[in-house]
Amino acid sequence: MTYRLALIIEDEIDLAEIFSQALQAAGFTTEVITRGDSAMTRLDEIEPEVIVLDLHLPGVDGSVILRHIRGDARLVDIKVIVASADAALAQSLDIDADLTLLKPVSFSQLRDLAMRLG
Amino acid sequence: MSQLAPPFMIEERQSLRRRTTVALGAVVLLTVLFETFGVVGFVYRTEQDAWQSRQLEVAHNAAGTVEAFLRHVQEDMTLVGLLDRGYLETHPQIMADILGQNQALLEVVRLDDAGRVFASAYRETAPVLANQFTLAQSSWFLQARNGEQYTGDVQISAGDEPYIILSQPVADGGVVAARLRMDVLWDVVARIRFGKTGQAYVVDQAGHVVAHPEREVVLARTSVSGSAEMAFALEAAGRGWRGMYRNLQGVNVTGVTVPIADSDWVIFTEIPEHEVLATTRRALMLLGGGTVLLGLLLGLVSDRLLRRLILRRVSKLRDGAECIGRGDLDHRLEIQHMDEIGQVAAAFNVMAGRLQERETALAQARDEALAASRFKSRILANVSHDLRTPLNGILGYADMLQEGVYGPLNARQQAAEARILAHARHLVSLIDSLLDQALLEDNRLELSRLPFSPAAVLDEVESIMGVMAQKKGLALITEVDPALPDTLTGDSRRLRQIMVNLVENAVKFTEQGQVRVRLYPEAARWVIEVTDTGRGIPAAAQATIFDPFQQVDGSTTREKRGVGLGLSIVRQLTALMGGEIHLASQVGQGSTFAVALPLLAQGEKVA
Repeated sequence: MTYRLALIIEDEIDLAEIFSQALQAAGFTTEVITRGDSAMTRLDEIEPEVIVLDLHLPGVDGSVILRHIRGDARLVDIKVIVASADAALAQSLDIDADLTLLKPVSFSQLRDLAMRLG
Repeated sequence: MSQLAPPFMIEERQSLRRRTTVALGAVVLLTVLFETFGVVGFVYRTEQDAWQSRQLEVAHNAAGTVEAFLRHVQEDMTLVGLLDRGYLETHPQIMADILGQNQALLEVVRLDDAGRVFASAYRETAPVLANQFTLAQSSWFLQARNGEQYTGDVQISAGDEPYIILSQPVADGGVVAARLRMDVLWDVVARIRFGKTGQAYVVDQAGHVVAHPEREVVLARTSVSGSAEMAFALEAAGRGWRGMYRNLQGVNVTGVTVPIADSDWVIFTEIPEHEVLATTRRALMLLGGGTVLLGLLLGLVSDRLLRRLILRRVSKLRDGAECIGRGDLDHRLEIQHMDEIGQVAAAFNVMAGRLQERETALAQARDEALAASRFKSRILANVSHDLRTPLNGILGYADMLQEGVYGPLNARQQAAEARILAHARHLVSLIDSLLDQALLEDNRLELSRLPFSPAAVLDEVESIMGVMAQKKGLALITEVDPALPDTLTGDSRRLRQIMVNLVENAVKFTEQGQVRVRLYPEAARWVIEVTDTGRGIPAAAQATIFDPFQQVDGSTTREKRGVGLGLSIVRQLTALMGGEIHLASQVGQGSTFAVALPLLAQGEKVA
């Protein structure tokens, strides 16, 4: 079995747990980071296959992280799932995510989506 | 701020200026008329009086002149009558002497009682009186022999000389007769002049003109009897008559008739009316013209004064009041003089001040109310948001439990878990409704405009609501008109919400039958139509059913779950999307809700 890493950047621990469980159920190994700035540092070290990204984050904003990922040749192929409670904000992003989910994102919904990510 | 009607137009007829001008003009005109009539009347009477006394005087003088002329002739005739026959026959020269001394005499004869001439003298080539064979039958002889004076008509001699025959009795029974040269009398009469065009003439008792400044009048044997007025003047001469009439020349005159003593003649003195009224006419012209000019001047001055003192200020007052009326409550009317108009302006200013105070108070109250409402909406939004966060946690964990993330559950645990999920989902939808309502009230709800597939949205609605309908034994039928574009632009989440709310509402109030959802294009719009076979909505309730916290029966029943926000949110979302909602319903038959939305192809913007 290949090692598939999913990085979950979400400051709400319960949501992070739900996302984490859903992705594990879809066959990923998960890692949770609750701060934007920590996530930026961590992304220098790892190359996850999937990132679940919240937009409201302490430290560095989710949109900045998305721009960083899309601007980095090493990271550009990562599948990014944006999870936000604010539909308008999610739509206003100048760089497209692979998938935008509006909160609340249910466990089964995210699990089913993650399974389909080939 | 309500806009005042455009400046009130005044009909010219109703304007203050026009009315005062008319009233003032009428007063001036009446005054002028009365004054003119009074003054002219006075001048007229004075002039008439002056003419009357003057004319009478002239008439008497003229009568006196003619009298003197006649008396002179009569005295000569009397003298001839006093001389006895013998003396005359012995001194035939005396008759010629008498004739020579009186230029007016053409011929003098002395006759005996049988009509025989025994003394005579004449100025012309042939005698007239002494040469008549029928002398004894002539009226001048017969009348004088009977003791009466005789004055004949004007005649013309063979030598073209106008004359009249006079005769008078003599004490011895004879008669003395004379022919009188009329041109001498005519000269006398022609010299009687007064005023500029006044004239006098002599008329005998029969009405024939005897002497006139114009010979032809006499020679034509003109009579005044033809005119009733002049005949009356002739008859009334004894009393010294004065009056107005049309004279022989056809001129309107004021005439005076006076009898000439010792004769049956009457003297007419006449002055043309235009001369009599000359002064009056001049006075009328001067006064009339002057007063008309004065009236015009007065009118002009009063108009100027009216405009300066009143109208200009009133129109400023009106402009100012309109300015205030248009909502410029800071505007104040300028007060130049504290007179009546100034008082009106001051009253307007006070009114504007009060209005301003009231508006300030109203605006403050409105702002406070708006702030309170916004605060309420924000609280509601915050509370809803805060409530939802932990609920999402509950939902997520319940979901995970059910999915066996934390190990398998037995049948009872599964059932309890399902109950937790159902209640939590319901709670989420209630809170979502509250949040939406709060956002809508606060105008903070934003719509996305992205391409979406209406059929896919309807599929989602079917999958969400299908179970609920199935549990009630209702058929949920969905239909997409093939003419509807596959892709539309809009906020698919909110459109799904509209459909879910309508379908949920229909399912809730339908006990049996079906709920049908149909999507179809209609002109430039597309329609979401939800039809049920439920209990229907009474007409009275149809107007309020879209108000927040309302349900069909008016009481916020707990019988059906929900807070009564569903239709209210549908209506507000529809309005926000630029659409309309229609409701057709009959009690006992069912209801049809139709939401018509602008049909936007991909990329189009809402106008």
